[in-house]
Amino acid sequence: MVSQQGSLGISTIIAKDEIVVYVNSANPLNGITLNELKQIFTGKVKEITNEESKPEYKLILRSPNSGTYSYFRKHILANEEYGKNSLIVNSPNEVIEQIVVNKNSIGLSGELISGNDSIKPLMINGVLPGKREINSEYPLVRYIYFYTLDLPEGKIKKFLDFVNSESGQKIIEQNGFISLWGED
Amino acid sequence: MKFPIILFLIRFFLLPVKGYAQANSMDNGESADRIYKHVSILAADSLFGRGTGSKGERIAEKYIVDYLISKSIPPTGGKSYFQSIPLQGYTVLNSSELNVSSISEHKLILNKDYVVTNCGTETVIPSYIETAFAGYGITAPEYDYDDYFEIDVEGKMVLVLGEPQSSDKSYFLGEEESVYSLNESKLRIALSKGAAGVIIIPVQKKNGKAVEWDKIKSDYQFEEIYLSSRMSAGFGAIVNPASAKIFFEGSGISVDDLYSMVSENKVRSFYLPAKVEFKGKFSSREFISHNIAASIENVNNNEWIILSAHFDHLGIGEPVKGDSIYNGLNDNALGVAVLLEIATALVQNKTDLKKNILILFLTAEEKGLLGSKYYTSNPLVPLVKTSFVLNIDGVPFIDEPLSFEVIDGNHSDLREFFEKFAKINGMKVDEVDDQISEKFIRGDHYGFVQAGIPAFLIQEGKLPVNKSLKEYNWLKNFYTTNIYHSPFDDLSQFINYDAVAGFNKMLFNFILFMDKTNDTPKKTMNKSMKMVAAEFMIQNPGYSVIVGGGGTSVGMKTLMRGRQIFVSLPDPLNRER
Repeated sequence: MVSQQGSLGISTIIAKDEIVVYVNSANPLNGITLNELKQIFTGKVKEITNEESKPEYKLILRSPNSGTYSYFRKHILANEEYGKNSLIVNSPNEVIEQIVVNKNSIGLSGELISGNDSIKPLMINGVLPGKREINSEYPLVRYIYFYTLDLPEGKIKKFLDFVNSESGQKIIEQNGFISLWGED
Repeated sequence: MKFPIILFLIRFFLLPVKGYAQANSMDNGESADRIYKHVSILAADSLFGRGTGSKGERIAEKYIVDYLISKSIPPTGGKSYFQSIPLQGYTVLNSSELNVSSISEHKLILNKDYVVTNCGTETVIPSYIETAFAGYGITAPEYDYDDYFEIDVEGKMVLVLGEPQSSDKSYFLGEEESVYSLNESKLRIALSKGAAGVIIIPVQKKNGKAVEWDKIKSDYQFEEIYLSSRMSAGFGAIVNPASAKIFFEGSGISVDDLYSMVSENKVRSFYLPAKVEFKGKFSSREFISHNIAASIENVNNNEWIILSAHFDHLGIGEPVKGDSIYNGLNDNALGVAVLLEIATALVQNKTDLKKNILILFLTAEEKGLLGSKYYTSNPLVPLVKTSFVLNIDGVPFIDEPLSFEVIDGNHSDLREFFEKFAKINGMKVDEVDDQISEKFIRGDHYGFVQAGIPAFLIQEGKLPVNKSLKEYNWLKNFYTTNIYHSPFDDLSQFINYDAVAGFNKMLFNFILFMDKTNDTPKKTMNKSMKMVAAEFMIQNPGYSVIVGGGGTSVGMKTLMRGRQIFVSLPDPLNRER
C-alpha cells in the first residue's frame, strides 16, 4: 500500500474468525498442540503416529493467495515452508471434499462446517473451535479488517460505523464470524 | 500588604460582566467542599484508578451521569448521555520473544530489555530480518533533513535515536521535543520507507544522555488501547540503552559511539550485521467505553462552546511501595469535579446564557486522546458551529495562582480573549516560551485543534498568591517527579481545595465572558509551514511525509509523488476564518 498508494493505510477491525483444522473422522487424532500443528504442516512430522501403519499426512491447503494460507504460514509456521506432501485447492469446499475422500488428510478452513460426519475439527491446545464467542480461548483466531487509504470519512465511515454497531455486529454473527463488541 | 490587596482584587473584582444571582453557589468554601466530595469518590481506591474499559471507569461514568441528572442538565440530543466508543485493548505477554542474532544469539526480556510501543498480532515478525541504524529516523524536508537519504531499509528493522538538538529554537524546536520525537512519528516514517518496524534507543534531547529506563518501563506497563480504526500496524519498541549494544555487535560501533555522535552532531545512518525477529504474544479484548455529553442549550443560537475534561486514568499497574492503584486525583478527578461545578452553575444561569454549552467528559485520554479523537470524528454538535473548546486538565492545587498560563500552541487567538478577560479582572497572564510542548500535544485540547477547532488549556502560571516562589516551585516539581502518573496521585496528598475552588470560579466567569462576546475565536493561519507540515502528519495517519506547499488552499491532497504528499494550508472544515 505504501509503494503503490503512497499511504500507510488505515485498518478498521470488524470481526474475528477461527481457522479450523479438519481431519477425516476415521483419524483417531482428536486434539493437537500449536507446536505439533507446526511440525505437521512444515512436514517435520510426516507420519500419523497413532495409526499402526503410520501413514503419511496429506496436507490440504488453500491457494497461496488465500488469507488462510498466508496467515497460517506467518503466525503458526513462523514463515517456514509448508511440507511437500501437500495438495493445493482453491476453495474451502474443496478442502473439505479432499478430507472426506482421504483418511490421512489434514486441512485448514476459515469456515466451521456442521452436519458432515465424514470430517471433524481438531481441538487446538485443548480447546475446540465453534463456540464463536467474544474473547474465546481457541488459539487459532484472527482478526478481520477493512482497509482504507485514509481515516474513513463520508459514506465509507457511515458504512464502517454500521458494521461496528450493534446491528452490524449481529449480521457478522449471523454469517458465521465472531462479533467484537456485542451489546453495549 | 501587596498580596492581600491583589487577593482582594482577584476575589472581589472577579465578577461576571453582568451581575448574576448565583455568586453564592460559587462561594469558595461551599465549592471547595463539593469539589472534595467529587474527588473523594472519583479518586477512591474503590474505582481502581478508572482505567479505560474497567469496572472502575463504569462506576465513574455512573457517578457523573447521576450527578448531571440530579442537577437537571440534560443529555446532548435529548437521548442518552453516553457516546459509545468501540475500542480494542492489547497486553503484551511475557512469553513474547524479541531475539537478536549477531555474533551470538540473544533473547531480550520484555520490560527488562525492551518495551513494545505498538501492539497487535500484525506486528509479529516471525523470522529473522536485517537491521539498520537510521540516525534519528527522521525525514523532515522543512528542515532539509533526511536520515533515510543514503540508506535502503526495505524489509528491515531500523534502530533510531531521539531528535536533533540545537540552540536554534526554530530548528526542531531547539532543545525541546517536537513531533518528530514521538514514537508514532518515527514508526510512520520508518514504515513509509518500507521498514518492518522501528526500535528506539532513548536519548535525552537536552543533554544527549541515556534516559532512565524505569521511567520508560512504567509508561508502557499498561494495556495499549486503540480505536477500531488505526494506522496499519508495524512493530515498534523502545530498547533499554543498557541492552542496545546487542544490536551493534560486529558493527564496530558501540552505543557510546552513538552518544558521541549525538553530542558532536555527527549522527549518520548505516547498516548493521545483526538480525532480529519478534514472536509477539498478546492477549486482546474488544470493549465499549463512553464519552459523556450533556448540554445547556439556547434554541435561538446555533453557536456552541465545549467544556471538556477527561475522566479516565491509568487503572491498576505495577505496585510502587505496595500500592498498585493509580488513582488519578489530580489527573484528572479534580478536572472532572471542576467541570461538574461549572456545569451546575451554568445550568442555574441558563436563562442568561446566549450560546449553547456542551459539557463533555472524555474517556481514554491516557490511551492517546482517544475520546476526543473519536468525538471529533463523530461530533454530537456540528463542528462548524463549535466556537472553541476549553479543556480542563491540570487544576491548580498548591496555592491560588497569581498568574495564569494559556496553552494553545499558538493555533488560535484564544489567548487574546483570555488576556482581555484577565485585564478586566486584574489577573496576570504569563508568557509561555514553548507552546508546542508536551502540555499542548498531550491533552484532549490537541485532539480538537487537530480537527480545526480552536481549543486550549488554562493553567496556573509561575506566581503563587500565598506561598513563596521557592516553595511553590519545589512543590510543583515534587508533584511532577514523584506523584504524577504514580499510585501516589491519590487522596493522601495535600490539595488546597480553596485554590481549586478559586480557579473553578475564575473559569466559570471566563466562560460567561466568552458567552457574552460577539467575537468568535479564530484559528490562526499564519503559522510556519513547518508546524503545519508536522501537524498534518499527525492529523492524517494515512500519509507518511509531508512537504509544505504554500499558497491558497486548493484541497488537502494536491499532489502525490511516491510516498510524499504535497499539501497546502489545510482548513479541514473549509470555514471562513
